[in-house]
Amino acid sequence: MPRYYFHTCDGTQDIDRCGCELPDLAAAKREAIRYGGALLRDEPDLMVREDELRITVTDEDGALSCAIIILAVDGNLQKR
Amino acid sequence: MSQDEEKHSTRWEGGGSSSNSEGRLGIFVRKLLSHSRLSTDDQAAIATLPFSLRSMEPNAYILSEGERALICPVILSGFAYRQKTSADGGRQIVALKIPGDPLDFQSLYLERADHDLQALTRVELAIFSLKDLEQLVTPRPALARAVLIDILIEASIGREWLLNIGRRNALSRLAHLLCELQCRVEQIAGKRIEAFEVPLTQEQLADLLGLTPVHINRTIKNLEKRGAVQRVNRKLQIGDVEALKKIAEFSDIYLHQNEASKG
Repeated sequence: MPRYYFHTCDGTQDIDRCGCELPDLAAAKREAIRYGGALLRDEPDLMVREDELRITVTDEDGALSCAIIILAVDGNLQKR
Repeated sequence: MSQDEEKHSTRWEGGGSSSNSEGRLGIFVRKLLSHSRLSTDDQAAIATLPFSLRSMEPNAYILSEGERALICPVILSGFAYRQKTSADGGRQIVALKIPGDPLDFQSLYLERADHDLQALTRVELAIFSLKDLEQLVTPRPALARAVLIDILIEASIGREWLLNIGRRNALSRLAHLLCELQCRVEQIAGKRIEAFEVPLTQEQLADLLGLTPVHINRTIKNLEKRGAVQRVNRKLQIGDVEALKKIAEFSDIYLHQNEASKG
């Protein structure tokens, strides 16, 4: 099974050097979504401190496999 | 393994040689004594129970869901776990068993296994027949009580795990499990164990704590930064137990250790 690396960007960069063996890209993408969901469940303030949570998935060669990007947007942006 | 060799070992797995003065079943008796008071007569009676030895490799099935158990294995060395799986293959590790633990007192009372029981590491088991066990405890109320207490403590640990998975965040969730493991292992080992090597992989920790392996990896990193754990050759070791206890707000009340034997 190929190994995928899940890098987390939530204001700080968390580079994954261990990675995780998964059957294919679709499984890696699902894993990234579940991971992101768990991070938010654990710490909703993540999206208050930073407007963006980004999980970047790379393959064994370091090439981008996919990315999950979650954005928080304030509605009163135009009034400012 | 001699006492001296064990002292610096980080991979405590129980056991010991058969020349050990307390006998092969000593660790099992000590386990029962950790939560129940037993007369020397009762203790001697356990030692007379016939048993066979069986070694099993990691992930081997000791008992499968739906099976009717005729035996009760006790771990002499190594670690095992109970697991349940959902229809789509999702796995949850629902209990962790350590050296000295009886694995199936439940089958004294319930007919069919409701979960799988698997070896986590290589395990050495003492296998008793349920019939012998039943005949042993029936005329001995203190032993029957010890069996019940063992079952109740496992249920208590299960409740704590439910809280852990349902309500604690990843950091304190992992920290809490590590505190429990350290506590239980030191209790049965009867000594402090420095840098205890956690016998679970990141995938197994994920299946136990209801997190993804990636999240476990990040959480271990976080604990590492705080000096609470360290990774040596990809193996997770417990570092600063006090730091872990603080993170997990750990209280060992639910383990009910030594209450009966404190006297």
